[in-house]
Amino acid sequence: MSAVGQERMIEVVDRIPEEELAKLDPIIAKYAHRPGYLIPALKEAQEIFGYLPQEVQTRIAHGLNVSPSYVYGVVSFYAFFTMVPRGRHTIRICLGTACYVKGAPEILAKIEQELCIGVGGTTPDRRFTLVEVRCLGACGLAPVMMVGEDTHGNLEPGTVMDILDQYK
Amino acid sequence: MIKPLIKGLGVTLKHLFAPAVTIQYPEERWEPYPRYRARHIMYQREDGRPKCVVCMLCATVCPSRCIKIVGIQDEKGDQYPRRYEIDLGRCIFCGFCVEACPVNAIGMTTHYELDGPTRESLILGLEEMMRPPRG
Amino acid sequence: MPRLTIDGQVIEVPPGTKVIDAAEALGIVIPRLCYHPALGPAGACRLCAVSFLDGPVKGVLMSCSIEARDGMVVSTEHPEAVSFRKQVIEWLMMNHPHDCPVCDEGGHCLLQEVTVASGHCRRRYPGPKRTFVDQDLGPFVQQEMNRCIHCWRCRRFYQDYAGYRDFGALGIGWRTYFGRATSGVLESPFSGNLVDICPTGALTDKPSRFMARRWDVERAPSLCIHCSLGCNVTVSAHLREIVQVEARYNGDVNGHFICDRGRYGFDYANHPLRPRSPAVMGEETSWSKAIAQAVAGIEEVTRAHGPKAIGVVSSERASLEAMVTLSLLCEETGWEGPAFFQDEETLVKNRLLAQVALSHGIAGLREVEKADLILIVGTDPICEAPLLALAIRQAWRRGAWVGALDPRPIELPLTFEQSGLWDEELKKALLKGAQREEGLEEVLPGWKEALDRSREIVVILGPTVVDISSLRRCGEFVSKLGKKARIFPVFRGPNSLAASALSRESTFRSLARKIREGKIKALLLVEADPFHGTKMRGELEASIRSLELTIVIDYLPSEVVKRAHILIPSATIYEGGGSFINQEGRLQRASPVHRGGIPLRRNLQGNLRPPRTFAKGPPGETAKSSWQVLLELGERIGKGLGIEDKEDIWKVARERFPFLWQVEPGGRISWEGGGVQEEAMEEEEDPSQSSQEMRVLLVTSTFAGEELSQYSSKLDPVRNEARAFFNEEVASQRGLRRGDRIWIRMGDVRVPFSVKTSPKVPSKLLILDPGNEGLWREVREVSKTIGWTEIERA
Repeated sequence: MSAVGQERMIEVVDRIPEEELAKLDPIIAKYAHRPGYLIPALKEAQEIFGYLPQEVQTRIAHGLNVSPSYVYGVVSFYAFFTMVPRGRHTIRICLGTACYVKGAPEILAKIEQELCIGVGGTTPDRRFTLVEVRCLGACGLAPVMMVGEDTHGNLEPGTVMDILDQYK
Repeated sequence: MIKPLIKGLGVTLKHLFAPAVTIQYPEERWEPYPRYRARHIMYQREDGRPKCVVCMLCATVCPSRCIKIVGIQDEKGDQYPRRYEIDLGRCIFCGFCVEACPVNAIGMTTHYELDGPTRESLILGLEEMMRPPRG
Repeated sequence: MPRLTIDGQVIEVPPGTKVIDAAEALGIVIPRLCYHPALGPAGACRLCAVSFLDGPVKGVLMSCSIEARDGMVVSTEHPEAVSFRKQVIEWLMMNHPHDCPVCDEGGHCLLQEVTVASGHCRRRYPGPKRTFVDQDLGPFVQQEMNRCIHCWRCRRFYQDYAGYRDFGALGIGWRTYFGRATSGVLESPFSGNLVDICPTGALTDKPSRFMARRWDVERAPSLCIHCSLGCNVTVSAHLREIVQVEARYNGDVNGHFICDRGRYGFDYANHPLRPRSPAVMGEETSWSKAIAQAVAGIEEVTRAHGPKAIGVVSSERASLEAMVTLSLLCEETGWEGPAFFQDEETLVKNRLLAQVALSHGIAGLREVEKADLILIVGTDPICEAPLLALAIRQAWRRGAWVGALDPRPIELPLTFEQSGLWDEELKKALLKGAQREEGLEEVLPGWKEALDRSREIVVILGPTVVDISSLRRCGEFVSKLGKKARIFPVFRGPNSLAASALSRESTFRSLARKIREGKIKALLLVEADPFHGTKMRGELEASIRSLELTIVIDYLPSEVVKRAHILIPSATIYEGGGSFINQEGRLQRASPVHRGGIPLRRNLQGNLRPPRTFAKGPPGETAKSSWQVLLELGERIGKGLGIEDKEDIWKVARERFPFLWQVEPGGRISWEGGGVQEEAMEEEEDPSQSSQEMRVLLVTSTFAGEELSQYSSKLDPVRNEARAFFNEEVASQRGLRRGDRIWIRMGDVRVPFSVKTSPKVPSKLLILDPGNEGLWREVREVSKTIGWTEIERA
């Protein structure tokens, strides 16, 4: 009923406009009195903003009555949450053991070279963000990458750019 | 009876003509050997701060417990002493502090003329330690 | 009972024991970094690996995570296990900065110890080290994340054990960061324990930074006297100054942890204004002169007005030795007193509480941890006895149901039911509870169900908010609950139980009445400050001023010390030691830590050395405890007690007060509460209350309001401002919102408050927490009721 730490909260730094932040209120209203619903709330928030900046995290923490550190801990734990803006399409290239052995490093090098970005980087036109992941659970198709929600397997350095061309 | 007396006088006579071992202080001053251990010196970093990192090893090893240190940390996280005092009235100049120092911050000079009108003046502070000894 | 063999020795351990503990019982200490008896295994550091040669499991496994089972053959020195542990150290040291000389933990660091033991000295991996940016975690804990080895002890303590969420693990994998979302003061009043449990220098003690190495300090086992729980601590002193207080393990009392008030409240002993030498009329003088003056003064008053003209006041923070000496001295001389409590009501309440608790089975912190139903009546654990909140949380984690009957908005790190009752309503509720099993169900939903399945009940009872008849009602209520219920009393001072046992009818209020009537002409105050937390400052000041002689024996720069005619400084618990009886009646003793004296650091800062007077002791030393001063006084006025040292006191006390001293230190006393003189108590009338007025309840908070820790500068940064708690509805009707600033007029003084609102606060009640007491210096009398006309917006 009564929880510790309600009084001293981090002040909201006004970088994202208030009306933008207000978009969070329906999400907060939906999950406010349901303990353990932090991750769905964060997921929906990321769908709105594309990323989870400090202000969004603080607002959700206020709304769900949990500590900002707790929210930050969850956001920084899961690879699918991001705290920096991302491109329209996220390339998740698998560097797990199977993919690595089947030549994922060459594919990564190719993409890095073609898009002129490193791992974790975003292209200047906000089209792609390149991240590496450990395993996508599709080792039979190694090497594998995900672009947005689509999974592509049996990649080869020669043809990988053709796949990326489908995403504008 | 007479023989030892002559022997003794002989020794006296010999030293009468030998060169003197005493020196005419303060007109003449004795030059100590380079490894002689006397007043301490605190070496400096490039920015002029003491090299000491406040590890307290000198204070720990000091057999007469005459070293008092209070540390401080700058915004970069480097530690340095705010106060570093050696009570020369209690120091036995064993040089253990120099041996113990992991960063070669403290050394000993050959400056042996240590005096003062009060006991308090024998306490060597940080500023004084960082200056080369006078004379 | 599993029987297993560890390094050739056979041991039988209770089921559920971990192998690491079984080995420890044999005297074999397996190195560990993440395992902590209070926090359980985490399997994070991999350092406690041992070889299981035979039995249900085989191979190199973590002894902290595996329960001892029949037929296990364990080798801690098997070459495989040794080389495994050696490599674990090498991994851990791969990212650890080798900065032991500048690390405050150096010298008592667990990681340093195991590294040296493993013989690791060279880093073979040439790559860069993982680095972090540090945060400012407030005034108590210094973070240095690069030194972290990811044992998770801090997070497990802070979030799981203590239940606070603002500090935790952020990120994943090797970049896991233990900190807050942003820099800021840690919210938990138990944050200092992070320093104790961190096995490396990642979290170190900020107040004692760069002061001394562990081997330089003087250390001794001592007691925390900042509340009535009597937690065990180890105190470190360096250069005549107390530098650090750490928790000392005592399975019967505090376990492994203490609160921040106990950890950082020690600074009163280093206070720059602490009386260091005897003074007569404000002028420093020698010991012999001050004693002679005191003796002359006492004899003069006795000659002129008789021995009954001398009143004796002490307090709940005096040691048992002082209390006993004082009681014997008063008997011998016929002086009035000793008075240990402020007023009759407090005395009767304390006695009654002790009696009720002792006759129903008294509970300590261990019993609270084992309970499955906890009812808090008139106590705010976090404010009055912080470690109690931690014990309640442990019970709650095991599934206990927790309910509270208190008008204050209690905050606890757990989920509980609270009903903001007080006075008549509380009495009614307790009466109902005493009559019927489900009586409390109306005010505390869930009570009935919890009661039905409970086996061990603990009722936590405090005397501050609850009045006398409610206390008595509570006793009836607990006896109705049956044999399984116990009472956990929460007193105000560290020695309140002994004070209520040794008290006669005198209280400070009754002595003050006699001063006004002219019957008492002189006052002897031993470690007591009647000005602390008083509501009647004006009256008190007038009575003290009208005295012919005021002799004060104390170590605090308190207000009464400033008004003393003759001041004799006494030793604190750190210099003199002492015995204390905690809230569960446990007799505990503290050893002296150091000889005391003016701290050298103060002189280092002012570039002034202490004066070189050729004396035996260090400058500013107060070599005498208050009981020694009292004995000397007694001897000089011809009423010697034939007591020379502590042993004598204990011997005499054992004969005179057997109920207190039949036990050896560490045991519980067998006092049955004594008789409570009811006729001595005059019932206070309820002040007439119009609809515009609210009753006033004065409370204290964790870091402000306790007498000793108030003088500790280490706690200054976390002390709260003065707060006024209103009922939420009432406040919103008046247009007051949480956080508003108001002035409350008391007499001719306006006191600033910050508004807090809660639905828990009864609508006819105004709860005032003075915060830092400095604000109250001018208030001559705190009124019993406050009307809305006296409240204005700032």
